[in-house]
Amino acid sequence: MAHSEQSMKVSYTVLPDDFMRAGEASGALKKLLKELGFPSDTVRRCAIATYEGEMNMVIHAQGGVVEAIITPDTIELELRDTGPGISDIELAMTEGYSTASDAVRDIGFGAGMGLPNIQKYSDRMSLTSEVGVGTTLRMTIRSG
Amino acid sequence: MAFTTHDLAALPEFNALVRGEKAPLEGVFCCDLLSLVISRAQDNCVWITVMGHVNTVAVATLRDLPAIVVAEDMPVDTEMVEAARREGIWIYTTALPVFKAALAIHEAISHAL
Ligand SMILES: Nc1ncnc2c1ncn2[C@@H]1O[C@H](COP(=O)(O)OP(=O)(O)O)[C@@H](O)[C@H]1O
Ligand SMILES: [Mg+2]
Repeated sequence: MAHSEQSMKVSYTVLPDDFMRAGEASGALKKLLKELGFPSDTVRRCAIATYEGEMNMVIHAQGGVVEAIITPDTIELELRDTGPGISDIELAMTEGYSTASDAVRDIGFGAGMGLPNIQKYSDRMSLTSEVGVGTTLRMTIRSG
Repeated sequence: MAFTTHDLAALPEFNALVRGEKAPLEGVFCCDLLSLVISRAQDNCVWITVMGHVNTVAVATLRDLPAIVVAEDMPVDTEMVEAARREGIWIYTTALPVFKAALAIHEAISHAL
């Protein structure tokens, strides 16, 4: 990807309630970014942000889709689900706030740090949601 | 290479359940909250947890952590073993509690320097 015009689009499906395969989309994207030669800091930030977003689709929605548009200097991510939606986005963004069940907490999720982590490790994020319709999370990771 | 995954396998209190590549281990990170581990674990550290399930392997893979220690002789799921084999991540088990396991590895790392 030597030329700035070059871009690549990939998409992954995230299955509902599948804790066995959860993280596969983020893992596949991370491997691709590594192969494309992105710096380790870019790969790390992207891995953290997509994993948190992917887990939210597994835990709080019924799975969804991860789409990435990759150019040499940015990774644009869009995570879409048709889950229950979020009624109060500001509250959801608060560190420590979580509606995760006890069963989910018992396996190490539900710290209420996912959305704050995404905000911290991405260069730009936007979360839009409609109750009963679904949630779309967009994030940009700039490289270098 | 100072202290490595192979040296950890040689410590008497630790049992290498799944072996991966030889890799340096420079520090120890202890935590069971996956959001903290994925964002705060240092590179090249060994991660000590009491959770023997497959989601730990996903987190280790995403952060390139070479090794997971499951402390307190907690059970390790077969899915975790299979995923670790696939990803080339070491799994060690130990009867030691988290703090003592961390201390033992920390001392071994310091000794090797
Ligand atoms: N895709 C989603 N669909 C519905 N609700 C969501 C989604 N993502 C996040 N949320 C809500 O926002 C809260 C905070 O999310 P997050 O910061 O990732 O913490 P956690 O996942 O640990 O609960 C969740 O507990 C949930 O109520
Ligand atoms: Mg979350």
